[in-house]
Amino acid sequence: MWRWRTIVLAWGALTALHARAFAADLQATVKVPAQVRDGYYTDEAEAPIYIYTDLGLNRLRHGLNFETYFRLYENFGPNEGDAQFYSGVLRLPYGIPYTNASLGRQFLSEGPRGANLADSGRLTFDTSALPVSLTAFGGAPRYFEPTFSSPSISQDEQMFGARMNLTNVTRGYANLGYLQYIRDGETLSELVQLNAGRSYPDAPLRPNVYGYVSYDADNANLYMAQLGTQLALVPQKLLGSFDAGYYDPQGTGTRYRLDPNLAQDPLFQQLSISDELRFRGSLRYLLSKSVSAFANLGYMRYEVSEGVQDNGYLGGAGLHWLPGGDGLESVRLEYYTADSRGGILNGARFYYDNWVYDRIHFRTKVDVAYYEKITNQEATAVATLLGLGYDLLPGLYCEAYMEGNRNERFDADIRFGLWIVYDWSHRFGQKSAPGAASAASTGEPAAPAGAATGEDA
Amino acid sequence: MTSPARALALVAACALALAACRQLMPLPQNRYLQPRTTQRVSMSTADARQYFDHGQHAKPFGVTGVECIDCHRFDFVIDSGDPKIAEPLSAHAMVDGSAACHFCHVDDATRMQAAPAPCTTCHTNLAPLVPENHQVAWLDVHAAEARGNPVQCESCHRQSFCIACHEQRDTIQLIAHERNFLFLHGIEARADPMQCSACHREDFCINCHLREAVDP
Repeated sequence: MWRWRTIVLAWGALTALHARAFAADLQATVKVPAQVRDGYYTDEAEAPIYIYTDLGLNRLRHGLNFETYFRLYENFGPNEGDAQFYSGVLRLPYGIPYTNASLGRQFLSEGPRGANLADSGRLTFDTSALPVSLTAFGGAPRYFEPTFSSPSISQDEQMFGARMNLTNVTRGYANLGYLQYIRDGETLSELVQLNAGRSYPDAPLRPNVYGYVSYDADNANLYMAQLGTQLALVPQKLLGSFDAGYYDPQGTGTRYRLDPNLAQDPLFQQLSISDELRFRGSLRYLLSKSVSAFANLGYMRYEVSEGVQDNGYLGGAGLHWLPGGDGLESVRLEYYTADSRGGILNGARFYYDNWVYDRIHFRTKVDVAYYEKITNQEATAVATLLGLGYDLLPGLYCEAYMEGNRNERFDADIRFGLWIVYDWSHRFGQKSAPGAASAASTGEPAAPAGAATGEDA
Repeated sequence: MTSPARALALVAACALALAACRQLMPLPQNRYLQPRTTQRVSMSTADARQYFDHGQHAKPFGVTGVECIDCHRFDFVIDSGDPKIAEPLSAHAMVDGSAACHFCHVDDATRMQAAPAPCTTCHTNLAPLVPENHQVAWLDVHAAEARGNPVQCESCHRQSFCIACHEQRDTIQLIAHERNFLFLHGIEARADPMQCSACHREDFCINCHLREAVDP
């Protein structure tokens, strides 16, 4: 009941704001995905519906911005558990001289099983008189998925940190930070972080270089490092991206921690007892104005158990074709593969999108994967989708689609779905923004305005 | 050839044929089924200028000493008190490109702190502004760039742009993983374990694996 009260209150507030003459940007996006399908666990039909709503009120007095976001969920069928989110952030960018402040709260409701509440705040002090800006933040990390009241990991978590950012780096950034991560009253890590990046548009290959190093002072180990670059190997033709990464969240060498609450990353610890090394490379080659080819390969190495190293490979290659070169049609064909201790996977995907007719969007997708797992499972999974969408009104887009899937769980998994997006914006007290309303509905770049909240998990 | 492979071949062939024969697609003279006449994403940034408001800028211009000639060419004079005539002429007389606006809003050396820097302050069409580093492996790269320089992201994207991928997790939409991923994730997770925990907590694994009693 109270969820509807929230909606009514929100609309009431907006109506009241509308009645007053002042300058502000109001922006609202509602997305409703719905589907009818067979239940994964029960074989009974189920009809989940999600309502995502994003309400924003920007450029109020003193530059104050307010954004809320929530997700409502209902399943007309067997009651599969899921979570409902409510989050809001209040931002005051430079309303107080030299100070950018934001305060956020997220409430994650999981029905009778419990709730997760996360509050966080961030304060940045930035004056052009100094070559640095200073940011301090703190609060609970946010989670974007149900925690199911954390049967294994405590929800009593906090993160506190600060960052000093150099403000006079041309075409780049550099900052030094500190982040403390606490769970269940125990300090899991105290990270000293260094971030830096710079692009060189006038140098050969026009490199964009970025790097990150994080040292855990609490456990005296290198927590994470990453170094990467993006290059124009052949200008206007061949683009490349290469990066190397290192990750060691265990903090105690190769010792497995039985209590997951003491592990910095319990999920990683399930799969690896050591650090992980990762190397990735991607290429994109523009064959012509309307056709490009792409390829990517990743190599990873870590220790599964003491003395047992594992090599993982992820890769893919494909073609992207824009018939006519005007973006009204898009065809993408790609091959992908994975090879690890878990098994071998080979698959192919095909995507086709068509906006040739005014207000109509047609799309189809086919994904076929063959895999052999370490558990001696061997199967082919097929997933297909056919969708037809229509711009009913400016800003209101509706799509009906059908999925036909075949996999080890279902001989025939047929799903029917509906996808509705309503995107609306209004500028009070000034000229409104024509065209902005319908941008998000068809996947075109939207017209947002604003900034982000505190640190995420 | 197995039946799934046959089905795939058939669907792929049909869609490819459809794509290849765009010129042959029926475009009847029907008011509900018209061909789209414009490019899907315009490559112009001219939409930005219409948001300039003299009244809103009067105070900061007065404080900083910005004068008419800093933004307008005055090789001709607008001699009209009628705003309906003067406004379009005035817009036409503005210096070319983005120099006038970016001088205060964007350029590092001359930027006014009180002038909002986000591109979306004026631009509604962001397609022409997409930077080159977004064009290859951006999904792999964006985490490092966002962590190091969040202000750069915020100049074009609102937080809801992040939310659309990171927080809209449900069993309907296929945003981060395709439908088949449920059956393949064990292989990919073991190939690159650090990738999983970028988004998921251990609870997420446990919840399904306990219910389904699946092999680890």
